[in-house]
Amino acid sequence: MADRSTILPGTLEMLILKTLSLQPMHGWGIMERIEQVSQGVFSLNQGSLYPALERSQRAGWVKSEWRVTENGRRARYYAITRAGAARLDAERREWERSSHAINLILRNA
Amino acid sequence: MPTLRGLLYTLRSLLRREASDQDTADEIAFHVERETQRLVDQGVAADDARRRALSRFGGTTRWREETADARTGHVLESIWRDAALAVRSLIARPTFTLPALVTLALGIGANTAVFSVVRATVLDPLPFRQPERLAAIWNTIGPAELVYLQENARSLEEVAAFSPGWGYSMVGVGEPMQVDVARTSTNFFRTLGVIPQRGRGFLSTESAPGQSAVVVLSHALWVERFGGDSGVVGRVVSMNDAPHRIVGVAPARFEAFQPGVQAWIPLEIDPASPFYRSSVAMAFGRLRPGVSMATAEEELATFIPRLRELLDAPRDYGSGFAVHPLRDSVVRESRQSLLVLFGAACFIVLIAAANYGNLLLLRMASRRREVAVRTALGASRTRIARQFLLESLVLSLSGGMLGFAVAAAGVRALRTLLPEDLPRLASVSVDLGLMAACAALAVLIGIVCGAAPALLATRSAPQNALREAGGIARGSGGGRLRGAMVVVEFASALVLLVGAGLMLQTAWRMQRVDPGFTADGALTFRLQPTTSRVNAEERRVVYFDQLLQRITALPGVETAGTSQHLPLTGFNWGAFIAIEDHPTPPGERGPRVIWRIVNGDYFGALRIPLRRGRAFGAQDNADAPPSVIINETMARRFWPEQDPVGKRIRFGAATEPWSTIVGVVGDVRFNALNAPPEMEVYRPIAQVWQGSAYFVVRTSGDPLRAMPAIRRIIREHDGTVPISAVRPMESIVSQSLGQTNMVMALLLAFAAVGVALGAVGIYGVISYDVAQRTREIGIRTALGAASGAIQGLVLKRAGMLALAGVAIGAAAAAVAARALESLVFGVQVRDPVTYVVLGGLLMLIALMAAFVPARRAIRVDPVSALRSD
Repeated sequence: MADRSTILPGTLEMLILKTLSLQPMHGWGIMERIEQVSQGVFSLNQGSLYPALERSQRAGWVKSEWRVTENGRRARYYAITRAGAARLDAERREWERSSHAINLILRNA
Repeated sequence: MPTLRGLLYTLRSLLRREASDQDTADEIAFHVERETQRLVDQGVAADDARRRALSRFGGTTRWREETADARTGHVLESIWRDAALAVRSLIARPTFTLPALVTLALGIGANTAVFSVVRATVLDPLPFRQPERLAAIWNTIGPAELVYLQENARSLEEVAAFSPGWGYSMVGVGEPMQVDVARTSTNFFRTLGVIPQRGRGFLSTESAPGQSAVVVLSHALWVERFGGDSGVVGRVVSMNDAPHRIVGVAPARFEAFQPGVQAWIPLEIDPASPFYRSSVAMAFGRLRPGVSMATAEEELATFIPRLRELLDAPRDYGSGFAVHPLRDSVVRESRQSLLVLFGAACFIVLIAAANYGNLLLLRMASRRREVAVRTALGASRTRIARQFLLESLVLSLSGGMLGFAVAAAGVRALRTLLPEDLPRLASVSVDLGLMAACAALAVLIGIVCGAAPALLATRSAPQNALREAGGIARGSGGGRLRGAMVVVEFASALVLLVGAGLMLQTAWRMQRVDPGFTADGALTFRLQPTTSRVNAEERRVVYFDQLLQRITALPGVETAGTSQHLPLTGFNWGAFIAIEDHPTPPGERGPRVIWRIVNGDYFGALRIPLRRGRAFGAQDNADAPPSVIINETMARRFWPEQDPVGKRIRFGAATEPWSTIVGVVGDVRFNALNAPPEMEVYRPIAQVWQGSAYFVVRTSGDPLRAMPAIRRIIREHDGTVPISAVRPMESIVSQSLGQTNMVMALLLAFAAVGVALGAVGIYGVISYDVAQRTREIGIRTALGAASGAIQGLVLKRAGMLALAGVAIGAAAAAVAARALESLVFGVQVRDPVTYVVLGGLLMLIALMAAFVPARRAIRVDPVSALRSD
């Protein structure tokens, strides 16, 4: 297995929002997706995923409802809200700005 | 971050707790299942896959707890836990908790006790229908004016009159007794909106001559004398030797404007009676809806010329009738004293709160390290501050509960201390309102005093606190705040001291003022001879004369006399007279004097000196020309260079005969010891009708010991005459000092408590300072500072704090003392000597309190101080 770095706290919500911005998913699906897309670099501490989802719900960025999966099982699906989309946008811009700045420093200082 | 949405979410999930927990369990199960499936797809064996999936999840219990935590936000549970923790830590620290509880209990208790008395007697609306529409009409009137006002006043829908202090002898219900009766207009109960609990009030026909032999009993009299008999209405009792029919019983605790009144009888309105034009009653009325007091006053002013015409007598209406809210006249006299006491109690609260705040600050200071450690371990600042605030609230509420016990005792004590005739005193009680007030005050103090320490304790960064030598550095916010609290305490203590000092001087002077008579050794009692045997006027004179002769003949009795009113009892009759050689211009009023009817050796019994002329004697009988005796004040006013004896004055209308002055006696402070004497006129009993008399008997030993013999004599003459109000003249004098003494005693108590708390406060602060500056002191000592210099350092800090407190306190006291102006006597409220002496005393106390810590500072061992941690 590749060397797994732990995910930075605070960015977890951002990643969740991004994942959900494509389509609504249940918790496990979100986890699998993040691990997939990051090509295994990020390994999600499953214990912190659900609290993060809870917090996002409380903040109003995410809403949830119980649905039936394709296998006929009952699962809770999360979807991004409009407020969440706006938040994601703001966060992404902030992230890009600071990483750009860091890159500049690393290259030139 | 608490947002509205967040709070709503928390609330919702709290409500649906069970469902949420089940949801969580389902979600976990789903997740674990999918993970297991994935592992199986990757080729792991089923059991193994499941186990690994579970372990990757990291223990479901903890996760569920965490989610649950994130959901409910932990609010309620943590508050409960903090409260329990607070109680435990308070119990573990009695040296902190006990002084705090005592301080709070005293401050809260004293304040709410005084406040509940003030509220019941001064602030609460009168217990009548729409009491704010009731107005007192400020002039005493008689039946003539009453009739006129009732017929003509448009601004008042009802005008009623009320005349207190009539003593009726009631015979036939148990022992003969003297009943305290108020005579009122027939619309009295109706105007107040009071409905008798039995029977009815008066009918308007019952003021006609001959129709007024009806009576309404007070609740207390009904219960005590008539046994609460439900058939009492309709019974006939003999009052003043005339049958009176009982028509009603007033509601319990209804005493209107006369505490202790026992019955009401209608005022007779009879144009032929000599009382028709006298002024025996106080008037009040109910304003018509929409009419203001000012309008009513204006209207009444327009009646004056007509009234003067009607009554054919010079009357002093001044510029008119003054119309005031009724409540003002009910509580008038004691209002100021009570408000002063309430103000003092507020200062006590201030001192107690400052002390409490100081204790909290000290405690916070000693927990700095604990706070630092907790912060470093991840506790949020809000959480810690909240816990401290909660602790303060728990403590203050406990103090409040104790304060309630103190307040209950205080209310009971006040009810015995306050003068009995304080209106509405009976409605002061220990009740739920009192408890609520204690709780509210406790919460207020807890929050106000607890906020600053809580915030301060969590302020500086953890590293500093952990590195420090175990406490807040001096000069940080905590130190300044503590100093400020001590200054507040001292300022408040000085205000209380000044108040107490002024009242102390007042009481002292009033004790020593010359009342104009000698009270020691004089016995007084009241007789109301109204049975037919002695009712006719001549017979009454003979009756009194015979009694006086026999009483004077008793061994141990020096002399005796009677008077219609006694000094310092608050009752007197006023009148406007005409003076023969000082005629008043037409249309103006004549001089006002107070007058009374005397008999026997009244002046000798009270040792009132005769200055000129003679006292009354046998020659002043009904056939002789009317004679009067005046006092020195009146003599000085009208005949400064001449001898008043032989001059003439006149009471009543121009048709009345002139009275000749036959003597001048010394002044008596009749109304109050702290009021200057007024002009007084005495008239002999043989010439003026008098219903009852106060006997004054001068004895050579203990006054009361002569009483049994006197009773025997009275009973032998006529067994139906009730004897009442037996008391030594001395007790009348001390009762008149009663209010002053009460205010003084309470202010002294408050001041003592305040000063004690202040001393404790400064002791605590200075002690703490010394402990803080141990290193600094150690260094100074090591460098050779003398012990005197060290001591001086400590005392200087104490001195500065005390000086600031005294300065501010003096300024505050100068302002606050204005409230005492009407209560003091013989001393100025801004008397500089008082202020300077008491200020100095307070400074001395401060320095003494700082003395012990100062000594401790000297004994600091430099080596260990420098090494100390």
